[in-house]
Amino acid sequence: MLKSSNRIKKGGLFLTAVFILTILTVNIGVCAAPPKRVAIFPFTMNSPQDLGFLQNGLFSMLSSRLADPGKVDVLDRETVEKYLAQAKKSDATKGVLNESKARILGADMGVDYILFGSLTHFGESVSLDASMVDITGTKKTLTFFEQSNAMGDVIPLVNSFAGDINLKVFNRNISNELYAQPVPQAPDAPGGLQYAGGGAVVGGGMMAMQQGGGQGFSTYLKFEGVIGAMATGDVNKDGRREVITATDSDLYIYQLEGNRLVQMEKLEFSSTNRIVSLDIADINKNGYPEIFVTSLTIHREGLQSFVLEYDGTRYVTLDEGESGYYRVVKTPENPTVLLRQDRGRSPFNGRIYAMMPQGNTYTEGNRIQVPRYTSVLSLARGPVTASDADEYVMINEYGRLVVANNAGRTDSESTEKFGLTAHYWFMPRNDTDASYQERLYLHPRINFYDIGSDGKKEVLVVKNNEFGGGALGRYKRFKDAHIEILAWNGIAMAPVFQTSTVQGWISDFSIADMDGDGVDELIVSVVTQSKRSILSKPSASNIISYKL
Amino acid sequence: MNIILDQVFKRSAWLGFSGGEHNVQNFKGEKMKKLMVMVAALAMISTSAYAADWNFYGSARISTFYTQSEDIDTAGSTSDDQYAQALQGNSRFGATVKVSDELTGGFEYGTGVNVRKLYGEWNFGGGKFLVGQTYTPLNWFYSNQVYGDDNDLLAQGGLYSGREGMLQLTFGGFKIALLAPNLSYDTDTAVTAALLPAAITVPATKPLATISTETTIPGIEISYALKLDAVTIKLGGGYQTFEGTLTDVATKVSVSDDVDSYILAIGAKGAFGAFYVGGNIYGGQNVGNMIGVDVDGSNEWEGGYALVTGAGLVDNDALGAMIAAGFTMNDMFSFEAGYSYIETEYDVAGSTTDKAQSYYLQSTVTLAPGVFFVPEIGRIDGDEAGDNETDYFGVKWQINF
Repeated sequence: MLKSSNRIKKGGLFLTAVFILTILTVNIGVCAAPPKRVAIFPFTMNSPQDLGFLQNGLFSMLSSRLADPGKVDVLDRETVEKYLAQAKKSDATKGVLNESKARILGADMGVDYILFGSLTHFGESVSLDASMVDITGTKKTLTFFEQSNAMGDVIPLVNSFAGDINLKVFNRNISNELYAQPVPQAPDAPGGLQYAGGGAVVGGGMMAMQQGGGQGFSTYLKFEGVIGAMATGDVNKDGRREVITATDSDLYIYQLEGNRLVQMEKLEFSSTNRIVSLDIADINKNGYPEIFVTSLTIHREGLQSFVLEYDGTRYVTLDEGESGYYRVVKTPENPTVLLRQDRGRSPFNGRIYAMMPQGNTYTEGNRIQVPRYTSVLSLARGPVTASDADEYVMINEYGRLVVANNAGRTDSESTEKFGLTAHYWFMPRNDTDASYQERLYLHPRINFYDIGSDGKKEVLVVKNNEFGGGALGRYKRFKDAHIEILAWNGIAMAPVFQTSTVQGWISDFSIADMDGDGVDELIVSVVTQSKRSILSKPSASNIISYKL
Repeated sequence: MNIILDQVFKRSAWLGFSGGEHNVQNFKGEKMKKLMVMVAALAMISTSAYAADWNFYGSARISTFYTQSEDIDTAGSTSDDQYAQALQGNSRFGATVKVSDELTGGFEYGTGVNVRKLYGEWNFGGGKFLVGQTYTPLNWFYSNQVYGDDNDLLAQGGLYSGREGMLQLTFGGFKIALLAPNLSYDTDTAVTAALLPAAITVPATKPLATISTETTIPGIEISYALKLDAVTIKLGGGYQTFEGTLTDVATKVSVSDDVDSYILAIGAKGAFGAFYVGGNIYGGQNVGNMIGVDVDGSNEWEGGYALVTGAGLVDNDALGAMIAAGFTMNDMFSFEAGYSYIETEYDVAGSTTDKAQSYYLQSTVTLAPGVFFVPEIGRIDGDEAGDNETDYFGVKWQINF
């Protein structure tokens, strides 16, 4: 009996517990608090640059990091903008937003919290300052301020801030790692390239460089001297692509035989030339592509560029003594366009025009709108931020990789430096000693190419690394170099692949199917040995090839 | 000549030249302090170098020259032959810094731990605004004459205003700068008396009069560079003024006079293949207050000033010109020759022109990037009796790093 009675008691207790739990569970469901409503106001951007893209990015990042279905609703941008427009007309809320104005606005909007702040960008430094205001005044306003020396650190700063809000306001603990974008699986690096992503996100959102399984490069040519520029194209219409290289004043034309470049022709020009760039394109549409040669004078204070073309029997000069820089760029609507930058006060100063053929010369067409400090030699056109965007990518005077729209507005500027070559321009003398003229170093070309065959073009940029990081001395001396392949990550250009690092400096590169196997190669000219003095070893250059 | 330079007096006092050992010790102490400040500054720069683009550089220069100089047509004067080897005063180290696309700056120290340059420049889009000390708009360098610590024919027909503290605006090729006026004038008696007509007397004894100066506006310098394909043309000018009051020590009678200085200049440089040529010509009044002038062959840059006479301050008119041409054979060898001429004349009827000229021939031999030497032969000629004439040959050795 006792046992039976105990069993009944135990059963009753169990049923009671189940009942209570059921009641509680149902009540929690029925009586759950309504989701908190948060309005994120567009951050004020204090920067000499146009950081509109980052303002949008901050809104998106904070929205996604704070939103919690059923618990935290974040107002959409249009709604916030609508209330902001109204606020500007009201005496109580117009002007700079502060805590008290935020409370008034928040009450009008019917939200629980308002998040506002600013991002200050000066030089390399960036500071994120923000406030999360509880409209009811129940909770103390949560303020956040953090600074960094790298613009790319904005994402970690936002993560940290969002983490603070989630923990202190919404009692939600989410580790920062979960905010990071999903780590992509390392794609197969094409040919001789190395994968540049897949590692941990380091400061600035830049992916750590990883060694990939690239098979390296093939050496097509070893050359005694400095190959200062290079281009590829079928210049004599024999159905085979030639590689054209330039020393200070001579051009060499090669064809690939087996795995070696064989010299077909050497064209000698005035020893007063200092050739810095080559391009090949049939701009005058006569069937033979022209060779556009950008050349400085021997004094490096002027230009004497010229244009060559094969006339069926020999190479003839179409145009010479041109005081401008040439670059051929490819565009979606017009496959090849010749751009010419006039001399200006420096290589990063002259105006840039699209050129139209007129007989054996070229006349100026539309002027290209690009940001300040742009050189046409390191300018490319193509889609960056969206697949249908018409944009320019350039390395500016200071080595920063800049993305700009076709109206010349800067959308992004890298904190890291790219480019550099040993080619330089003398600025006007401003010292009693003639050797003390300021040197302005030129950057090599930029190219777009769909590396992964995913229909999205990446940007190929040379990176020549100096001894001492370039902080010491007036003369550039390079220790090693590689080509980086970058893609837009939503905020900035981020590396995806890179070529293996080579000793010396890369003067130029081209993408072409040289060996006719249906797979493009990345052809790179590398100056492996620079003659440092009259007694040192002669300069040496190599043409190498990576399979793409 | 005896030039009164208030800046020179201040500098002499700072250096402790007027005192004995105590002042020398002060000088050493000051120098040590300056060095310590510099080291601390460099340490700070190094630690913050990641926040901006810094580029440190330096230049070490040694001159090794034989000179033969003598006073022209002077009884009893003998030729003075000398070999001189010295660290050039314009050896330097410094840095340029780029804080952002809009903000740049730089500094440069010389061998006397003296600030050669210290400036910041703001690019506000339409132009640039510079605050600090660096080369003013009237520094045109067309010659590479290396004798005399890179003389460049500057004081014998070239245009050299020097590095001054200034406020400068730049709009493309146009520059305008405001700088402190130079309040110097000449009070010499012996040499200048020979250049003046008999009716004008200079004070027989010094100081016959006390002299005070008053200035109300800054000096102004402008230049415009027009760049054509092969030629760059420069136009420039400058103006400054101050009032000098001479008070007779005995009678206490004062006479005031404005010392107006102005200069107008044109220069050009062109390159034609491997050849290049450049030069300038200028004219003005009391130009010594704005640019370096040497008319006695001493290369001491103390000509071109207004003169204190018994009749008041007499203006000094000047005309100068220089030309240099060269040939760049390759990246290792280049050759250059240059000639310059200058004349000044006091602005009173019957004055005599004071002339000087200089010429040279040189080659620059580059052994490695930044490592080179420049053998040169030349002359600086004061022209008139009593002036100096110096023939020289030698080599400047230099490493830029």
